[in-house]
Amino acid sequence: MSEENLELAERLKLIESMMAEGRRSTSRWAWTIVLWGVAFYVAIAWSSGMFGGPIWGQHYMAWPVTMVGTWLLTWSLAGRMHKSGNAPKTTVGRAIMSIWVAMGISMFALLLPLGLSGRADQQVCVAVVATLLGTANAASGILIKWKAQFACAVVWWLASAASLFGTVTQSTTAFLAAIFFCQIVFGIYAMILESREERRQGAVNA
Amino acid sequence: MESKAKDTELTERLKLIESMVAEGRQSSESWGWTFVLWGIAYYIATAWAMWGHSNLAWPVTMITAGVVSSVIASRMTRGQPETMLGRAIGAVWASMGISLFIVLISLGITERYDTHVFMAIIGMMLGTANATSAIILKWKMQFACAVVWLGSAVASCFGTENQAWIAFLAATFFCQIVFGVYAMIRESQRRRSGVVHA
Repeated sequence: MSEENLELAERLKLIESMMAEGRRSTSRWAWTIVLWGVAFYVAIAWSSGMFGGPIWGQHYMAWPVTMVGTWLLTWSLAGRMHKSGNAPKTTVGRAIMSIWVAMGISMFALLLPLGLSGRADQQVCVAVVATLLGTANAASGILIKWKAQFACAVVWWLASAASLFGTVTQSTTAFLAAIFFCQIVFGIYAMILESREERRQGAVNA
Repeated sequence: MESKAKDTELTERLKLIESMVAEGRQSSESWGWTFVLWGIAYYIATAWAMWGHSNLAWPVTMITAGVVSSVIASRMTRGQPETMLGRAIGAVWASMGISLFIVLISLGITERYDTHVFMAIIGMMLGTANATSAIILKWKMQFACAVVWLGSAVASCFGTENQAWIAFLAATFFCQIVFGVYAMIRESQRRRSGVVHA
């Protein structure tokens, strides 16, 4: 093997190991995926009047309060993870974090004005949210070559299209189904992978 | 002793990341032409749709720009070694392209065309992609472009139809043409300084 080929092979190996580390780091953060899935369900239930009482009666508060509350909770738990040294700084980790931070900024920057200006109906809003979540999942999935995450992106894209082509009820159903598969199921799957990896590491180190 | 070794390892790791970020920024500058190309494509599509009153203006111009970009990009990347940051940025822009295509085509086919919503979605998606690249590469200039795109998206929601168009055209000028030309100038300056050093 020539020197150039050896260097290429080493570079490829390094990239493969970085992607594997990226997948592990995503699994470490899987709890956030489940947390946000549950937050979406709480916000939908609250805004559609499924909860009673003086506080839950304020339907227009459902989305802002739930989203800001979940963001604060994620922030504080993520801060603890960083402090305990469970999150090593890697290039792939930085890239994935950047994707999700940018997605969060855009969602906040657009959904509030869209809602306040009354330009978009429920179906368009669902399409916008699903498109953004599809983009973030696809970018992460392509970056770390994780087919399960790319499948989530496809589900979000389908939900986005279904929301625009269907009725209001179909739009809601598509959104709820996408949350279930891409937030709850995928999040739990990633958490299981993470716990298996931890057990394997523990067995190797013991 | 052990903690000192750990500190040295951490410092080296950080140095490596910093050098990868700097390399990523340089490689992004060599893609400045795509920003200019897409900026011109937006202007052509806007002019064609406005004066030609054609529904084909946007799909035809965007697909043509996509084909031209991918042909030139595949020539550029042939034989070039892949980097992790390059993969990350490529993944972000590819996903943004697919998402934008799906949502805009769906909006068009279902006859939900509304200039405000269209411009807001385009501004939001381009803002997201620019913000992601900027955070990855720690490139303030690109983050400024993200802010301009998101600003144009917000302006589209609250302004009149004319104001939405003006916001879009201004954002295209600053974030595609000016930023693209700036990246191209930096790339050519670096090349020239490389020739001097050689």
